Amino acid sequence: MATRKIDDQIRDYYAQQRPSPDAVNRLKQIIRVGMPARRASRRSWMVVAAGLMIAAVTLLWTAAHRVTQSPQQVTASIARQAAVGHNEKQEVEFRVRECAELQAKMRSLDFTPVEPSMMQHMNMRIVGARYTTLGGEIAAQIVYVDANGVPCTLYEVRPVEQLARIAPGEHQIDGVRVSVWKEKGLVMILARPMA
Amino acid sequence: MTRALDAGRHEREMPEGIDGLLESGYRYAFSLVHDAAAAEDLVQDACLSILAAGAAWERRYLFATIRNRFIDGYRKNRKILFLSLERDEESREGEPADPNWEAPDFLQSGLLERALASLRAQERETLYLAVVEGYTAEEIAELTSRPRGTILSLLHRTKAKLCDVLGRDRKVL
Repeated sequence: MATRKIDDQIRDYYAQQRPSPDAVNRLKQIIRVGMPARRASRRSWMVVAAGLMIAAVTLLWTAAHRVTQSPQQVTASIARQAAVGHNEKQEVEFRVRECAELQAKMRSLDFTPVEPSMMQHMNMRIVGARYTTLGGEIAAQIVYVDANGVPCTLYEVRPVEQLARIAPGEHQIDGVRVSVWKEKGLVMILARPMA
Repeated sequence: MTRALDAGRHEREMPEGIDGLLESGYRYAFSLVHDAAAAEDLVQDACLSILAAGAAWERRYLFATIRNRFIDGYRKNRKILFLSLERDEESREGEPADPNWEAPDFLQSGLLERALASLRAQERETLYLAVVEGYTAEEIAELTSRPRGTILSLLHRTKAKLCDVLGRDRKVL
């Protein structure tokens, strides 16, 4: 049976989709004739000016808020995301036996997933991983189990944008202990149940 | 009366490359709605918006306008349009080893059409922009106002979902 690359088939499928000649003529007619010319009233200028003012204030407030977020605030927010993700216990997308397999499978990441030294010391065994996002950045959500079979969730993400300001530390959120640290050029976040 | 109406309008020169732009806009709209008539309506609405704003006939602007009109239409109908991707987690069994895998001719058999129809609007849109338009993750992120990381994971999941659906349909047939 003849095979073809799936992307080529998708391209060909969309290349077959065309607007009807009637629709094209109608659209061209609309463009040619244009909209009835309207003169902006003084009131509409005031509405536009007010809108621009609100937009500028919102933009400034958002920028100021982002800049003034302390490392502790950034870390608390990321730690909460990690705790929620751990408690949700989502299915993994890749089942693996060792971290090296992840490096081959998770090709959409913009970094290489690595095993932190802590996991070896804690006698943790890798089970699988999935893609996720933390702070707007693509991240690896890696599931480990300890010697008793208790699952722990390790997140790895590049320290860019707000994640560059993350502060190492321990957090206790919703019954989950969340450890945050930097290692091998990545931000590591480990979420595990509290004893 | 006719003269009075005509007085309010003025004939414009047809923008250069408008045929290609309209076709491209139609295909992008089709990727969102997956319905020919709805895609034509969406492009027409977008053209009217561009004319009303006096904006330039540029691909980026047309795509952004089509997208905004699409979202407006859904809001009016109070439908849920784009689900949060932070919690959008569907594991797929049919994980393709190669994101651009060799496959039987699903286009001729009509299976590709069915599989694309089963995707959500945001999945089809991302797939279309990446595969057909050749947009980078950054460009899609800019157009759709989503983080780049979200686009990368969405694209990965959409490919996996497509592979899964195509595999399943093939078994049924």
